[in-house]
Amino acid sequence: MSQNKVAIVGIVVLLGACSLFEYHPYETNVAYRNLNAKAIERIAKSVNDKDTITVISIGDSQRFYDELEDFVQSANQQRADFVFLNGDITDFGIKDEYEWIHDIMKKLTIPYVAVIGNHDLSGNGEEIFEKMYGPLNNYFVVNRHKFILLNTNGREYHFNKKIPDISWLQEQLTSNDTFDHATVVSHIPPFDSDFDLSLEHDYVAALQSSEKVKLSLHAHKHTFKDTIPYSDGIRYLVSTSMDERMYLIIKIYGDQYEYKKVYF
Amino acid sequence: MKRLIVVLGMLCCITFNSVSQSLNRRWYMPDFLTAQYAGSIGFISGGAGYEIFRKKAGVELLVGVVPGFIDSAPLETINLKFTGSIINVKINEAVTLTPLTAGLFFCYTPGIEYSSDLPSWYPEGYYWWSEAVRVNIFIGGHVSAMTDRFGRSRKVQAYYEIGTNEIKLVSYIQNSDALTVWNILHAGIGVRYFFSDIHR
Repeated sequence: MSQNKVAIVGIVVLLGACSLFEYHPYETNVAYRNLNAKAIERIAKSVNDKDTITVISIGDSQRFYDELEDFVQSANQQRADFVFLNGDITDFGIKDEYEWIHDIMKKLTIPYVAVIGNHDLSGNGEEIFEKMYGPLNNYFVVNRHKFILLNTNGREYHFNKKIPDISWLQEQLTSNDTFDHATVVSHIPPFDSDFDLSLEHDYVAALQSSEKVKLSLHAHKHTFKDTIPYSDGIRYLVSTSMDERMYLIIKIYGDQYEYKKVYF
Repeated sequence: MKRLIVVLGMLCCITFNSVSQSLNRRWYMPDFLTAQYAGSIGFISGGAGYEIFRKKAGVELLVGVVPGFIDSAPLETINLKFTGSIINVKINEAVTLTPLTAGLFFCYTPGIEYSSDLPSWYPEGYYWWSEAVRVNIFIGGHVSAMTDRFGRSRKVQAYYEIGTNEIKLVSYIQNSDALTVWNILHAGIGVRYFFSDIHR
């Protein structure tokens, strides 16, 4: 009997070890953990006290794996400090997709930081994102510049007036002596119909009143957009989806910035 | 959902008892019971089914669970599976090998967080797939043997299957450079216990 038990335990361990055995497409035990925290640690070391921070902004890698591989090759030729993968990392929010994306993105020679998109919330995507990348609202400060990552996927929460979390955003933008300038990074721009439009004014007002923000980075629309829609000098830059084979490379120095489009 | 699993479990017990104890098999009584490990429908799943097309195929209803100790997001599924035998090799009087089967199943995952239709606050066609329903195709194989272990002559079967679902398949088709077929495949294994004692 005990021999049988040993055999059963052995079989279960073997089966568990074989990655072909999937319990459900929505299983959440993703292979990679806390990637944003690890990336931020690397960024802090590499940027250190450089005058200029060089950021690559992309989004909507969903189901464009071949194109994403080409992006990684192209980005590795640039002298950038890190990449923002600004939402819709996946198409269906399943664990396999999250892992496929990271298996490609880990070939980058520089770190990347992921932001949650509406597609990433499908199925159990929210839980997988939290395990794999960390909190949906997050921030980090390098060289006295604060980058604020924000969940703006209001439609996914039935426009419950809580997404984006405005009070958290205001708190992050409140002056303290850790940063001089800030950039907000989120998937859906506030002028899009998938943004909770009851919070559009509050979002814009939070950025304006802080007097710290010159740039708001987005994706979601699948086409490039450069706009200053609220006549307040705050520029909203929307990256294309990966099938458009374009990314933005943004140089930030003090309260100044410049950007260019790169096609690959 | 838990109630559903209990009801199905009771049904299986009743079926098992009535079928094994009486010779008057009712028409609706299933031909076999199934237990499965993995296969994208649960950590474990169980159910019952019928042999169809002169026992060349089977159709079965399976309830699967991913319990909380396996994954922090517990799941339940209800599945309708069709499996057809393509090649059969009779090894001896007691054992038949079926090296190739093919089939498909529909996996329904209940829960308010998994919508089967697009909820009303989305524009029409916003997402083209259903969160709750997956369509899977697979190939596999099984080996069947007659045994007297259960007090009378019974057929038992061990099977495996390997396949994919529609959302992984569409990901692979569009990305044949970045993804390999092994990226999208998933596998399951299981056993079936047949009430019939006639070995084909």
